[in-house]
Amino acid sequence: MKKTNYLRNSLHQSIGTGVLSALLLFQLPGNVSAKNHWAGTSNLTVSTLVTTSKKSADLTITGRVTDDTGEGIPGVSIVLRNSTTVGTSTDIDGSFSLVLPDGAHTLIVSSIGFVTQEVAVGNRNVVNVTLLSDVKALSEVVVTGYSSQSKRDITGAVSTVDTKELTKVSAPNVAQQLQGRVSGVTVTSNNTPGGEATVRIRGFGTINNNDPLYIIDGVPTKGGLNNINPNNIESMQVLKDASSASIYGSRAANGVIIITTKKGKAGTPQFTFNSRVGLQTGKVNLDLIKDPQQFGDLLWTQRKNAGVLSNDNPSHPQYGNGPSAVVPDYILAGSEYGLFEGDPATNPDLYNYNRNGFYQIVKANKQGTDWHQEILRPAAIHEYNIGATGGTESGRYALGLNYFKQDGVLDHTSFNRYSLRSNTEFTFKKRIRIGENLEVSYTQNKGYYSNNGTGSSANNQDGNPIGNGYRIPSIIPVYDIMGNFAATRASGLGPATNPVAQLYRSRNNAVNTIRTFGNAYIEADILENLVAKSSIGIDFTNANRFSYTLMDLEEAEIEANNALTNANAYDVNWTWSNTLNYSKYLGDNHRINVLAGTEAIKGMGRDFSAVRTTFFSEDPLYMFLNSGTAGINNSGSGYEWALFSLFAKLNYSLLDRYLFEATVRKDGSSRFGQNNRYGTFPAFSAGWRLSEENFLKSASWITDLKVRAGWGQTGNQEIGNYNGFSTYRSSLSQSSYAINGSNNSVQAGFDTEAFGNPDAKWETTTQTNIGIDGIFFKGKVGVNLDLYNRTTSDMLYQVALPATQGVATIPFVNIGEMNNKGIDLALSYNNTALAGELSYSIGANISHYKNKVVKLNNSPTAVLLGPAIRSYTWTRSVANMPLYSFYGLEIDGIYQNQAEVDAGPKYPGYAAVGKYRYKDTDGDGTITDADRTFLGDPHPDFTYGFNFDASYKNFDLSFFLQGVQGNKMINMVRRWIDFNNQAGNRSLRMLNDSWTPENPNASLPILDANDSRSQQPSSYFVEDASYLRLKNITIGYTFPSSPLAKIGLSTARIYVQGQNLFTITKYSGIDPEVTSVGSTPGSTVLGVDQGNYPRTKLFQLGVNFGF
Amino acid sequence: MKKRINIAAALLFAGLLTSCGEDFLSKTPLGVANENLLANKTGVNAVLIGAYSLLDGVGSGPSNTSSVSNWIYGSVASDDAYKGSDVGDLAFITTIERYINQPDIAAFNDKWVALYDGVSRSNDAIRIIAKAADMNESEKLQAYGEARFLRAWYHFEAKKMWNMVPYVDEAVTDFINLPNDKDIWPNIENDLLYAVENLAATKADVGRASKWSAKALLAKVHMYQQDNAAAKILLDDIIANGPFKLVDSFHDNFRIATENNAESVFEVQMSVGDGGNGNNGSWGDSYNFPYGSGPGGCCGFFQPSQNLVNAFKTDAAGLPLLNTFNDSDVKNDEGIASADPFTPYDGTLDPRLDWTVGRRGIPFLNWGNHPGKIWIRDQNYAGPYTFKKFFAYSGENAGAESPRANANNYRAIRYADLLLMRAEIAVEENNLALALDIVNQIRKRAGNVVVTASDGKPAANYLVKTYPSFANQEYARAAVRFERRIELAMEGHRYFDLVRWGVADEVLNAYLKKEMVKRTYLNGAVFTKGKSEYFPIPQTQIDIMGANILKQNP
Repeated sequence: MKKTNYLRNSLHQSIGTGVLSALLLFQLPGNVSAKNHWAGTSNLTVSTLVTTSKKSADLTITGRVTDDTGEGIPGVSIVLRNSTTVGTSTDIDGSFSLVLPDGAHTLIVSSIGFVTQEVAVGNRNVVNVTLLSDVKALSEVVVTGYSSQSKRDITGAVSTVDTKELTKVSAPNVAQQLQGRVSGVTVTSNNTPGGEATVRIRGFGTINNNDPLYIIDGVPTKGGLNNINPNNIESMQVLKDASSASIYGSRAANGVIIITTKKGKAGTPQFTFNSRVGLQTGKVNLDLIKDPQQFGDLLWTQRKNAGVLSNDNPSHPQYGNGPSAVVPDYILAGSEYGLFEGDPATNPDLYNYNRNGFYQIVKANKQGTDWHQEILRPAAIHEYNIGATGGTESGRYALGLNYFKQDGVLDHTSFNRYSLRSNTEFTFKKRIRIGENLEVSYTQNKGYYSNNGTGSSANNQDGNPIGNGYRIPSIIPVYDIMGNFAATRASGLGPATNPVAQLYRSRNNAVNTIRTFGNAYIEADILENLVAKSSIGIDFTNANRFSYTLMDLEEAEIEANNALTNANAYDVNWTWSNTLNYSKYLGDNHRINVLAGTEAIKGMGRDFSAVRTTFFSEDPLYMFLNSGTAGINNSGSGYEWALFSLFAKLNYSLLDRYLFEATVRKDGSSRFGQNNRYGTFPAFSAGWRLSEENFLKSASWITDLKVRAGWGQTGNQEIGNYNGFSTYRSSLSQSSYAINGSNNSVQAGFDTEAFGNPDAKWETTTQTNIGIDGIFFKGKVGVNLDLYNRTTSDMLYQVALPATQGVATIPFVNIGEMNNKGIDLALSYNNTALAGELSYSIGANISHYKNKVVKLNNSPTAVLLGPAIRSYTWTRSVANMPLYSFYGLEIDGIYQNQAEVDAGPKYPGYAAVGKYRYKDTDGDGTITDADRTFLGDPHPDFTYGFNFDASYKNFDLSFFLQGVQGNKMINMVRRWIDFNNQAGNRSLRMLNDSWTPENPNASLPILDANDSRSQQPSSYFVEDASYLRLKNITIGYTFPSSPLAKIGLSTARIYVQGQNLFTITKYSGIDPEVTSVGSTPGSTVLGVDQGNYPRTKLFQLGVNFGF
Repeated sequence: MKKRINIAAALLFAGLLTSCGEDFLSKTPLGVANENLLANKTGVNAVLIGAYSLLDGVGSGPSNTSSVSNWIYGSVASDDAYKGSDVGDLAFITTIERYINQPDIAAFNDKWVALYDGVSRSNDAIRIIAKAADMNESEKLQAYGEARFLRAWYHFEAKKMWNMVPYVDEAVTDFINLPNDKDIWPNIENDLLYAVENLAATKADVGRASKWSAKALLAKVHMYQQDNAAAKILLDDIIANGPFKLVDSFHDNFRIATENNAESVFEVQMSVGDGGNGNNGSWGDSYNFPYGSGPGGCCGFFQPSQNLVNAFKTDAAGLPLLNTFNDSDVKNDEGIASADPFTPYDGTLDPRLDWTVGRRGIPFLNWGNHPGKIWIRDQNYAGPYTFKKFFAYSGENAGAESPRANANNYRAIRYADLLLMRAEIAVEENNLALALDIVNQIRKRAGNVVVTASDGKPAANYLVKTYPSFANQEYARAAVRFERRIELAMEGHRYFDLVRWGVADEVLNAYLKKEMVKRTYLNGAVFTKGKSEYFPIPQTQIDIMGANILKQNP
């Protein structure tokens, strides 16, 4: 080969000999060691730039490349325009020297994150260049499937996330930080400390699991992001369409989020210390009745209207039996209720808090207990990060230490994380690179919500402290006369739990998790253009859970015994991937890159759990399994699954204008039966860089303009591990029987555990995407627009089976088709003003999708029901409607008089003056279940984010707004507080806005103690849950560098920050952002609010130091 | 050099491809069994155990709403009991009590799910028996017999509840297109005829079905079809040739210590402290405990009605007041604090009252005298009485996971039940002497053992005597039915008996008329003849199967 010099950036973009200068121009990321050490996961190789064979007439120039703060930029690529052979890169200080051939005059200076400059050399020997930073610069290299490519060459729908912006939001995991940042990505965060977030890319592709696939340094995972320290993240890409994601095949149907962690950079070691400390506050305001007299009045009106009378008057254990409700002095004394001062039963000497002879004395709280106020507290959040990076050309390291502590705003809830990340890479003989990326974290989640990771439903349900807070009447004080907890042992006040006690008793509940996540890899340049890479990734999690049940003698329904559950689980996934990457320039106009690879993934887990009851003492130092004396019980289980894949990718670029990409992946999964084990997922995409065409070249305002189109298929295999098998289990509690008449032992039996479906096959999502990427006015304006059409066929779902088949785990079957059409738009603008002293940038994104179930069960009448919540199902999915549409009766006003009742549809046992008039939608004259109709759906019209950053001199300001528009919500909390749903507290609305002849336009029907029908699913509960939230606002000050240097600091910045400072919404519940019901992984039942963990306002102070 | 590297790379790839074959992707479920593993004698028995284990109604998910005791559907829905507790708790039961019968309340679906899971487990057993190679023919016949007995049992329970229900046998594969358009009595009878023919007369284990249990259930199945002739043959056979007799003490039918006695024809076995978290005990009745400081510490459901208590009044001759029993109330302590004095009713009472109903001033088994109000969640709402009949004694329930689960077996079919059915037939055949004899056997036994106070004397003024004669058929019918009510009170039979006799509307509407004065939440409740007899088919199942396949009851 005739080459003398070559410059190589990534394999994908390797440049051989004879490359056009134009190509070099677009080879901008072509820098050396420093910036490109995220080679670990991608197939980037460490670039070397060699300058050789000088001629005598050459001109040697030197210079330094700095950023706008005067800091030298290492690793900047400097090449001679129109040359393929002359170039160099800057050293650690940003300095360079270069020998130029005679007559050469223009240099192209480029680096990731900076606007590329062309610099005329003229006669200068010293050329200093200042590069302006450019977040969305053309030069950005992004990691896509198993490789990386220049962002400008991408033909799929790929969004890059600015990690600097992400980490401005204080949150335990990066998914929460992602909210509002990327068009097409909807995030709903679960506000519990350490809680996970629900991430949806481009709507809902399936009724099944909708979680995206995360690839962290090349290792896939489906969740558990709160074990990963967000501060270690270097870059994040969201692969939204099938043409970009289908290289991940069977698990990519819901999109792929690629995370690359920070790598070491050659040069002097750099240390950073970042910390922030803040205070969170939460608020719950549901307009509940607080004055116990008002509560009594409500009960009295209800009973009078219903004719529920004793001795001609309403009667209640607490409020007496008179013409009006009388608030007692005591609600409980032993087993007497509704007592007054002087009653001998209230003699404190009788008080006894032992289970035997229990005698509690509880005064009425005449002021009324604000239960939510009682369980809320201001809570601290702390975060400390120490980083060290450095190394040489032959070995580089990055180290990150993190301590994150978030106390929850509900008492006794908290999340702690300690993590250590170590990324290193070594180069041997310039051709072989060996490295590892590893994060080890220890997290501790404590309190009531501690088990609220995936798979738990502690949040957003009516039995948790928030739920009990709206259910327990205000007449009950938090404590009895002796300072022990008080609750519903006092009769007539329903079965809710004292939420203060509930949080207190679960204060030692904890889930402690150790997770090791990372990979080790070896990469070799087999040939000049051929690189082989092998990577072994590991994801190991070990979780230990303590869960206490403590005696609650003050309750209406007390625990039988105290108990401790101690559970342990470990999960291991390993991923072994091997790739070969060939990259070549064929002539001047053709660039080709071929990637082929294999991947094997195996997952397995084992768990066990043990329980004992009846502990002599509830001291946490005493309560270990050994000391429990009864109820000895244990259980355990395990699973395994495996995936084996072959994949290939071809990129071809003609004249740098016409881009083409094809990928194919073949996956075999243990989760599918023999017949359907393998699935093949192809994708094609093409791009046309209009800005390179002659007819646009003259338009100087167009910096870069590309249109692209893609088509591809992806799969979904989230159907559990053993969907194909019909199994039987032996269960002591469910399938065993004392056949021999014993009173204390059973013979073990078997019953069906799961119905298998060996015929299930891959769910396939086919997606077409058309997009435009434009950069205008030299990078000042950026536009990304995508239109997509996404159809999921052979949709897998656990279709409810008739009970006549028996009870067992229902198998996934391929049942239908769903479609999402949508549009994602991202805009950016950045500029400077005041002679460069003020620089600012604006980013905005907006997304819309329209979801439709196309068919189910191949039957137009098939219905998929949502889960039953307190006896009613509220959502259903049917063909031609959006997924999980709300379903119930439609309210058509309130009957004002008997004539209206008589004229209205029949509703035996219900229709009456003051009651709801329901719409007789089927027109048969009677209200039945057949009159239920669709009442809206939880899908938003659009979601959006707006980001503003500005810096002036040493000050910086940024804020971030995020919103959702046009989504509906079932406000289930109102079922509890506006209707007779168990005995419990009610809303002021129910007291003041229930129908009376004097209040004909009331929103609620007449108060009626016997009314159980008005609370059935109806349009009453459907609310608009649109909101706009100020997610974050930060004001910072960066200290000037010269005084800092004297005290050994290279950079220093302090800032103050506020999060969630305001939310604009009409929604009447606690917060319009509500996590999905059930919270099982991939749960798609959304838009049902039963009372979420309160969203917090956060004020914090942060410092960043560099050494 | 280059070539060699290429070859090496190719080999590496080839190696990778072949190393991951079918073996790597073959994963079978861990820690569970499959049909082949169970297709042998031990496996068959274990699957049968699984089918038996649902007899108590607990094990498919639901519990209180699916209990074998039918406390909601058989007793609360009848004139025996109120829902109890307070107004808001499990308020859906009130809709059953008021005969509103909403198909969408979960309770009906719970019961349906538990019963059909029982059917499904029985069918699993039947399928696996056919595959078992190590069982001889007689072993197989016995196993088939037990499975088909259980299948009939579960279908029978469903038939009682909903009348029109699907019949599921082991051959069904399409569970969606399984309409409820046929009367399934013949299917139930077929299963029971098979069981009668093939089951052994003596049980290998006390909990198993025997030839006699099958005959008894078949007799009941005939009674529910008003087929007295067919029932009579079976009942006479059981009475003449069966191993059953009335035990000396009425109360022995409801004690842990005297389970599986001579009066037990078929008993649902309960067990606690066995690793089953109470699910093998009486968990389906775990709410039905005296409230507050009372035993169990929860929840005060299932309170006997004043009407039921009044039914235990006797006249000076020790006979029940067949027509006038509800004209005046047995005195109670409603509205009286436990600390305030109260003297219980001093009129004559059938002693079975105080084995059936917990009331103020009477020893509550060995838990001490019932203290009245403090054991009641809301007297005002659901009256002064608590459930007592098959409650556990203090100390008799060792090892229980929870005081709310006990090991007291549910006597699903007891001999007294069969005798009284035979008496019904005798009345209809105008064989009044036989009817009299049977009723008197029952009444004579009722007086044998009564509740005693701490001084050893009867706890109340008990007086129960035999009838000297039945004046006519109508009187005999009333006497037999009345005897059946007080003998089997709170055992979950009453509602189904009223429907079976075709008198539910008149009896229950009369009951409501008086009771709604005491229990105002019953105001406006009405039993509609031709509609309220059967419970609504659960809406959830209709939604799954389609309204054109699973048709709602009228």
